[in-house]
Amino acid sequence: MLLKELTQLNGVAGCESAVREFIMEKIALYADDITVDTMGNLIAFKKGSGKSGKKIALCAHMDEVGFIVSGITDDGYIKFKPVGGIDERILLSKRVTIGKDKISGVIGIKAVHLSTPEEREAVVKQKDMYIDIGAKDKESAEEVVALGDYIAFDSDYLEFGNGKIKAKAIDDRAGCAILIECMKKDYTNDMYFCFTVQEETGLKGAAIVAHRLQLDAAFIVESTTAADVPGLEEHEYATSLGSGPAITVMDGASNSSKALNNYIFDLANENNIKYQLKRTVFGGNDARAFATRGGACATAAISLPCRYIHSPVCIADMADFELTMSLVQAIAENSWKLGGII
Amino acid sequence: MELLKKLTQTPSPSGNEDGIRDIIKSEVEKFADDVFTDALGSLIVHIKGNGKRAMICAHADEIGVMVTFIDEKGFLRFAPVGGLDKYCCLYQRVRFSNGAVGVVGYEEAIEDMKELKLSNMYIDIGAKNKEEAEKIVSIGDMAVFSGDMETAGDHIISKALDNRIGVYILIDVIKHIKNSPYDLYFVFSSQEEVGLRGAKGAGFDVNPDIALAVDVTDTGDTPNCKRMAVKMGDGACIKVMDKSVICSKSVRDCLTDVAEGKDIKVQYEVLDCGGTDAGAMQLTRGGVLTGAVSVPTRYIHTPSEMVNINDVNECIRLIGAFLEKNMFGEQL
Amino acid sequence: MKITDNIKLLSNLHGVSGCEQTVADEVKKIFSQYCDECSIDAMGNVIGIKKSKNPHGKVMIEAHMDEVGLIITDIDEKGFLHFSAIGGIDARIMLAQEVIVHGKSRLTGIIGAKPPHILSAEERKKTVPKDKLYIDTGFSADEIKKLVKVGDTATMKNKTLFMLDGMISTKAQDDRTSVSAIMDVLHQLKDVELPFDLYAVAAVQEEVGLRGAGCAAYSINPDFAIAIDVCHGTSPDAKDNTFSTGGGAVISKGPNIHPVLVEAVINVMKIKGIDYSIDIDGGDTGTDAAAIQIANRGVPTVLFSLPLKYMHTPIETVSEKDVQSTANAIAEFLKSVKRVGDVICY
Repeated sequence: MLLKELTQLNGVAGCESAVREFIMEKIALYADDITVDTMGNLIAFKKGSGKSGKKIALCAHMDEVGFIVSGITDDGYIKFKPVGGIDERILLSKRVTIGKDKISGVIGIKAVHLSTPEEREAVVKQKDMYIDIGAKDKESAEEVVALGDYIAFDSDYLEFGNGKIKAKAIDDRAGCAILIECMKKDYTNDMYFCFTVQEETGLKGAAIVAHRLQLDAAFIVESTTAADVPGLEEHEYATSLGSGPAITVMDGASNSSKALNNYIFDLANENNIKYQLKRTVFGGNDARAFATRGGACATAAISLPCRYIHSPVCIADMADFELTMSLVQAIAENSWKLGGII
Repeated sequence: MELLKKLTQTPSPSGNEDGIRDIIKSEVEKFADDVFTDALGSLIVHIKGNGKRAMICAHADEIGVMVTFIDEKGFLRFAPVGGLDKYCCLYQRVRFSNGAVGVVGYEEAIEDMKELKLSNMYIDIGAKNKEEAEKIVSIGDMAVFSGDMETAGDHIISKALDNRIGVYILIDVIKHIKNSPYDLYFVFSSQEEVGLRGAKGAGFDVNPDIALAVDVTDTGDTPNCKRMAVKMGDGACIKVMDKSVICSKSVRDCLTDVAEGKDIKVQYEVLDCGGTDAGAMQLTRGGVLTGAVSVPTRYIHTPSEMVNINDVNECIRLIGAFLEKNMFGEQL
Repeated sequence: MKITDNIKLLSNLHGVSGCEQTVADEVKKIFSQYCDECSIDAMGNVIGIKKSKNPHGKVMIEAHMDEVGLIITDIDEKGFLHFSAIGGIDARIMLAQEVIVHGKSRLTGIIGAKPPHILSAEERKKTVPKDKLYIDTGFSADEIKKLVKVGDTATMKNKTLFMLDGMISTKAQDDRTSVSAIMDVLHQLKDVELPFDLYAVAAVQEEVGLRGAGCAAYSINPDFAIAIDVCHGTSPDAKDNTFSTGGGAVISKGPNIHPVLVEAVINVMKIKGIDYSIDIDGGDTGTDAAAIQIANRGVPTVLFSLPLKYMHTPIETVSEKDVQSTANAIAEFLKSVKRVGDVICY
């Protein structure tokens, strides 16, 4: 299963090659042209069967949040820095893997017994944390780990609850999986499928893809926060699991094109696809880069709701995933109509 | 109800359970083979049987105060007996076993009520001076809080329902128990509120194979209260855990089974604070299979504790049914 | 039998204090390979007896087999589970932790709390207290209520990780890895005829107040006892009062420890060239040794400890070498005892 395989790959921003190679292999049969640019973005082109009006792309990012090795202590522990936005409160006692050889380690913390009441109540700062790989000293650690090695969460893919999944990096391997599936079909309009890098470090990859392609419309297939959990009021949920793909009106980085959103709503209604609107304006995604960096471009974001995003234990609903897939599929199939819309 | 009134209104601070013992004894004597009081003040009621030994325990003491000092003007200073809420003490009436009554006041110089301490409070028994006060009470005397028993719908409100309701339940069980496979020791333990002391001693002496405590527990069904699954009116509680005990799984399972078999309304209890005699009994000697049944009770350790009479009846049915089933299997 | 196999086997089992049945069954199976009798008492303690042909006394070796964990206290209207801790659990490690909920069947759960974007800057600096955390099982309220009830427990989920330089990281090594050490002692003594009956005990409910070991010691009433527990291993943020992993066995001294017995043990470690350090406790060691010492008419007791990093987390980490040194020390000492009285008489 694609989503399982994709979430088990490590692709921390700046080190997406494992994900890219996997995707290239999966789409090789279905692409008319494949480009890998200087940063490692993967751009697949699929020629349409009819006359193409507009230059249209589906986009998902390949990278995930993680860490990078920044030091090795004399007693053999690994110091690290975050890559992407990670809530430091979730890190302690989690397992990680380091580098290409996937050396296993744990993020340690001294026992609660040894901690003062003040220490127990304060969040440990990420810069004070360390990873224990068992090494007895620096020399032993340096045999397997080097400065600059990337570090990913170690978390398996699990189906649980009533049709839920748990994994790391659902943000945005879910989008990658959907794009790969969409590439298997043929479309009337020419289609670009953009698998971008370094979204988590500031929409970097998408910036140069936008510049290269100068698109008319970009549909960002993302994963977004679902906060439908205890302690929050319903108006604070942003999105809810089980309510279908979330469509963004505006977030902290971009405004979705009203025309594209109406196009999406119509398709959803015609195809009986349940969807929800994202009910908050925080956050942002590659849409901002696509909207501005190659000249003005209409964008829209279709997102899979995901609890505990940017953690090793993202939770998503498989029904939402299927619905998101269907909606994106419909967007691609009907994209020839966009000429008259934008 | 008359019996429960008598039980709740008889002062019985920890270590001074004499009065309550007499009442219990007179109620159960004719149903028992033997009734005696041990050195710590627990009343032990033995109903002989040929099977394994079962100890069923409800503590007979209640929280209160102990006089520690009498000042020149006749005001009394006091220490807590058991887990006393300082705010709850204010302006309450206290009653000594000799009938003397006083009221709890506090030094009004305190500006912030957060700084209120028991040591800033006193008991006023209306004495003019030290001499007069000493004629009424002496240092070491204990008193309990006053709180009449009243009913409100299906609910009973009174002082000391912790744990006279347990005592009441056990008396009822003793009166009606018929076919128990066990050699039964009902223990009305002393000094629970100061550290499960009575049950510890009695547990060693009785040396049971199986033990059951009957006590009160908190509820989580009042406005903006701490989260807890127990609801008043939802039936007898089968205790899973509190600070003193993790109840033996076999006993919990047996309680669940008899409840299902007799259609008795039960709920499960995990209590975040507080302990019960079960904790003392479980760790007796080489360890004892131990469980506990609790009565959902609001406002514990105040003069206005509240229980639901239907819950009380379910507890009686549950304990009765439990004691009539041989947990160790028929062949034993 | 490799000591690491048992460490892996035992740590992957689930049994918080008061719910050790699954662990007890497995421990009993292994103890039985080396013991003449093996039973589980009313508390749930596993007690194996390796009998002597001509016993002149009784000796008990003990470690606890419970682990810290969670107990479900309530199920809310959306199906999230609320919980309390069983034993000392650090709230700082709980967020995004995977757990196994032991309901009618085993369910995976994720520990969550309010997401960061909704928190104030102040709130983000504070550890989320346990009563604001919940378990997300991915089920609705109606579904989960059929599977889980109040009072069911949950345990940390983790796989055993064998790391560099003989280090092992996983959950529940406090104190099952010590139980593995006991198994290794039994293995080493398999064909040795001892002058005393040897009682191997895997005790329950240590994490909630040393409840199991005291009861076991009461019924066994041994002439002396050796308890094994964990102590804190050195890590970058815990350098004081900790012991380096890989440094060998750790043995305690102080009022909780029998002064003659401990010297006899140390003497054997010296003779056999076993690496050890000494831990000093001015009073109660806070381990089962404290309960055993005052059980029945009193039991001369010594305490071995395994240096363990990140205690009470799912990534508890020990050195295989320390476990082996401890097992060797105990086995060699027991082999050296000719008469029980020799090692405990003042």
